[in-house]
This record gives sequence, structure tokens and C-alpha cells, in this order.
Amino acid sequence: MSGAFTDLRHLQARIRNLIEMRPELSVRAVAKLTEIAEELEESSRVETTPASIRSSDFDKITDGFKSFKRRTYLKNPELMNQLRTGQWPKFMIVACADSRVCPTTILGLQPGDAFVIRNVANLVPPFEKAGNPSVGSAVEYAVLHLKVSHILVIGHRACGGIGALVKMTPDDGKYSTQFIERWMEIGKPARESIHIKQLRGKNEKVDDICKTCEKESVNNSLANLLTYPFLVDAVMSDRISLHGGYYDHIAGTFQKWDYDVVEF
Amino acid sequence: MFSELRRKSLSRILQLRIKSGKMSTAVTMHQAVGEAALMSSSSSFCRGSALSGQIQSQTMHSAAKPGASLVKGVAAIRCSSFSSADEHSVDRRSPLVNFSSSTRRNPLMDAGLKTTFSYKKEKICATNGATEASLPNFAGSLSHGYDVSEPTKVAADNIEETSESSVLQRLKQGFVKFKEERFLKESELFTQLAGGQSPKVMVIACADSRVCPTMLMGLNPGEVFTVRNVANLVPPCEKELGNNHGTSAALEFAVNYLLVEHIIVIGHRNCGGIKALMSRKPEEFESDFIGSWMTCGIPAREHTLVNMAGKTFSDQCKYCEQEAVNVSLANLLTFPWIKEKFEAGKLGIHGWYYDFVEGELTSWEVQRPVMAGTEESAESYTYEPTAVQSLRVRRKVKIQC
Repeated sequence: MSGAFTDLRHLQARIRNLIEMRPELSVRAVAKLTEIAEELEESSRVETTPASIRSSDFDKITDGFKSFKRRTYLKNPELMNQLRTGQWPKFMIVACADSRVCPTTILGLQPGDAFVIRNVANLVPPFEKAGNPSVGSAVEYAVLHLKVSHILVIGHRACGGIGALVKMTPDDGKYSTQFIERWMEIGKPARESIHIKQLRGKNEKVDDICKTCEKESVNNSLANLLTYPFLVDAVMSDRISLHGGYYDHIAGTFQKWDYDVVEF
Repeated sequence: MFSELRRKSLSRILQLRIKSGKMSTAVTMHQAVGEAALMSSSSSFCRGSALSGQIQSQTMHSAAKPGASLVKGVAAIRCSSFSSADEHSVDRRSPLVNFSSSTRRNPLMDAGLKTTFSYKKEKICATNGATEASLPNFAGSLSHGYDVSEPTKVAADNIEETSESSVLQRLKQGFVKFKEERFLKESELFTQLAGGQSPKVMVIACADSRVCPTMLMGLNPGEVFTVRNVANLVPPCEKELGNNHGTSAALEFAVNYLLVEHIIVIGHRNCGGIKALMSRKPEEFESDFIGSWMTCGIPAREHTLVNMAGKTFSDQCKYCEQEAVNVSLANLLTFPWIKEKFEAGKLGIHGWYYDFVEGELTSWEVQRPVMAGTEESAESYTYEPTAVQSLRVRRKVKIQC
């Protein structure tokens, strides 16, 4: 340890001497040394932070911002300058609120790439429920104001909402939750298709039924998107394309399919 | 002429869907167009094949009924898998499957779905009359639902080489990178998460493309349950069957089932939703979805107009963006189970404001009510963002770097 300190002191002295002789070198030296210091700080932070996801995470996310600022914000001045004045995302993404499936993480999005809404089970209610503006407002904003060119609905494996939907007793009108089941009603058409399957007597495992339902629910949301009149116009005139996605966080796969309105 | 026709037909189909109420919407749509297709164009399938280039033929559903109608969806599905085509055979540590190789199977088919979708540019011709004519059989045909009688053809990956696809290509590359750099390397974390999620924090953030909380906070998968909506609003707890239960459902799931320990509402600078809230006249709120959603933020608007009278519009917006976070914080406390946990000290409620113009993040925390006899902390102050709820808030802390 003491050997390392001696080495450091020697280095320090060398740098100091150099700068005293040629002061113009100080700018470069400071920049380099800052970089080294940051790197060392970073690695010591990683070492001291437990990898597991446990409490004290609240402090961690405060540190997270500092790291974001250093790594992303200050490193991309051009992009950040541009984004100060507005956003021009190409995508609107509808994803689940589940902590494991953030599209930014799994698809490597950058600031400004995608307008993202996240709700339980990535549902899009149909237009006729005009009184449900939480998703409607986002669709409207993305399509009419931001003019995105793609809408991607991403479902995922082992979705809690879809699990509730599959297990929900059909139409008994009694809810065990205050809001969740009511919200999941939007996904019912997806369940109906599973239901038909069950009726046909193929006793599949619940997990497999859920998996099918998760994908089918994405299609249901895509079909529901087509009930928004302004979106139909945009899709018909090829200004917007619709896509479905399915992220399986257990197998580590992502599937994507297109959903197009067919020409007549 | 053609476009007029297809518009009419489509709106017809949409009407059918809406009429059919509880029926499966997807089924309804596919079936409706399917029938229309059957009536007026039988050669459409071939055309689709010709257009989409490489095509592989496969029987999708072996138990198909002979003679059953060929169902064509209004939706065309062209599938391309970002990873392996056959997910069932993929080992967690298996190398990535090359994108350039064609995808031979439809993901829906893997899932055992008896769905078929026509391929892109496939022509489904129908006059309005044809759609009309299919109506009487409509309900009956639903029982067939997703049956497919024809061999289904699945198109190869990446048929089009347009600039459009390059945008999508970036997402693919993003996933490949994620899989290589995160998923395969941090197998311990992902194995743990395969069993379930137990996030300690729930975040409500704006849908804005510049303010993803995962990015801002450097989050790992599994750490934060995230709701994103326009202008990060939390509507108050609705007493009866309400309109806004999307956010409420997420709150219920996070607080009562995932047992999160903190809720953070993150507002941000230059928010489009808040701009609408500040610039609209009161009578303009009900004209569209954005307006009716932003009505939850009206208390913030009123505060701003009083406290920031005479200031510039952009200053007013900046104030309102933070005030809207406070309104959401107050609304959180209208949910009885949130209030209970908050008062018992089991749940922390925080407001954040991200200013990407300055590169600053400000945080503040809602304080629990002071017990009689204890001294009030000098850091706290009380105020009332909404008529029903007052908040005691700890002073704001700027996270600077």
C-alpha cells in the first residue's frame, strides 16, 4: 500500500513540475486527471453497491441521476441541446409497468427516441370508452402532435395483469380488487379466444395459457388502436405503422410482428 | 375510388366491432374482413405471396375444417423475431440467433394460437354491399373464431429495405446489445427476476421521450415499477366506476400487491401536457382526450395563475409543472390504502422535478402529520395543493453534479 502511495506522490510531483514549466498544459492535465478520478469513483461505487435489489435503493437512484448526468447528459451535448427545445420521437411504445420490462433497457433507447406509456399489462382501451383519457390522451398526443411513425405495443412473459385476467371468473361481476380487474376488462377479448380454446378441451398449463393470452392481448390492444379515428387515417395513408412485440424475460427473447391495415 | 371504398369498409368493420360488444374484438375484425375477402377476391392470397418475397409454407393448424372459410385479418402480421425464431428451444445462455436468417415461424403459432393473418399488401376487396351481406352470418361465424383452413404462409424476415426499417433495425440492435451486455452477463439477476419482481419503488413519470426514469436514475431491471402517462398525473381516487382507473389500477397493484416502499412522481421541464393545461381556455378542456385528461391538473393551473400572475408563460409553465406534481402527491393520499400506509410510516411519497434544460433534478418529500407534543421540523412547511388534501412537504433538495 505504502509503495503505491509513494508512486502516486512521484507522479504528482512530475505533473506539478511539468505544469510549473509549461502552464498551458494544465488544461489537458486537469481533463485527464478528472477522467481518471471519475473512473476510479465509478468503479469504487460499483464495488460498494450490492448487486442485489434490496432496500436503500432510494439513495441509489439519487446517485443514479449523478451517473446519468455524467455518462449521458454531459457526454452528448449535441443531442441534449437539441432536445432542450423539443422532442421528435419516431416511436410511441406502450409497455407494461412491470419493473423488469422497461423498453429503454431492453431496446437500448436513447433520450428522444420513443414516447413511452406504461400501464398495467400494456393495454390500450378502445375508442368508444371515450371516458378513459389516460391512454387516449397519449395516443392523441403522439399521433396528432408528435406525429410518430411507429406504434409498438410490447407484451411480456409472466405478466401479473394477464395472470389476473386469465384467472378472473368470467362475468360474475364480483371483483376482489378495487381497480385492477376493472382495468383488465379491456383485455377481455384476448381472454375470450383462450376461453374458446379451453372449451375445446385442451387442458393446457396455466403458464401456457397466460403466454398465449399475453401475445393475444397485444393484438387486442393493436386492434383497439385502430378504433381511434385519427389513427385509422394515419395508418391508412401509411404515415404510421403498428407493431406488436413480446419480450420473454425468462428466455431472453424478443419477438416483433407488424400489424397492418390491408388495402382494399 | 378505391381509397373511398376501403375507408367505408373499414369504418363498417369498426362499427361491427363496436356493436358486437363483448365479443372478441380481434375475432370480429378478422372475421368481418375475412368474409368480405371471401366474397369478392379469392386470389388475394397469391398476390400477398408474390409481394412479400421469400415465403415459407407451413400448416398452421392441422385440425382445420375442410371448406371452412379462409379467414383473413384486417391486420396483417409479418413477424420477425428479435432473437430466436423458436423460443421454446432457446437456452438462456444460447448465442444470439442471427437476424439475417429468416424467421420461419409465427410467434403466435408458437403459442398455439389458431389465428391467421394475411400478409402485407394482400388485397381484400370488398364493396360496402359485400360487407353488408356478410352481416347475417356474422354471429354464427364467430364460433369458428380463429380456425384456419389453409396452409399458412409465413414471410421471411426483413422484406423491405426502406429507411423505415432502419429505424426498426435500431431497436433490434438495441435488443441484441441488451442481450449480449446485460442479459447473458448478469444471469444471476435475470434468473432471480424470472421468479418474480419485488421492486421497492414505484415511479409515475411522463410519457415524454426525454425523461425515461430508467435512464435518469440508472435503474436495473426489477428495481422500479413504472407508470408513464401524459404529464405524470395521478387522478384522485374515484369513488364510483370512474374514468381514470388505468393509473389507479397500477397504484393498487404496486402498493397492495408488490408492497413498494416509495412512490415518486417525476415532473419535468417543457412538458407538453402542462403547456396544454396552461394555454387552454377553461371551456376547451372537454374537446379532446388531452384536455379531458389534463383536467386532473386544474388545481395546479389555478395555483399558478394566482402565484405567478404577470410572469412570462414559460415561467408559469415551469411553476405549474412542479405544482402539478404536488397535486398528484396530494391525490395519492386520497387513496385510503395509500394514506394508511403513508401514515403508518410504511410508504414514502416523493416529488421530483427534472429540468433537462439545466440538467438538474430536484426532490422533495411529503412529511407525515406531526404528532401532538412533538416539535415541527424547521425544514417542513404546509400547504394545500388541492381543496381536499393538504401536504406537509420537506424543503426541496437539488441534486447537483
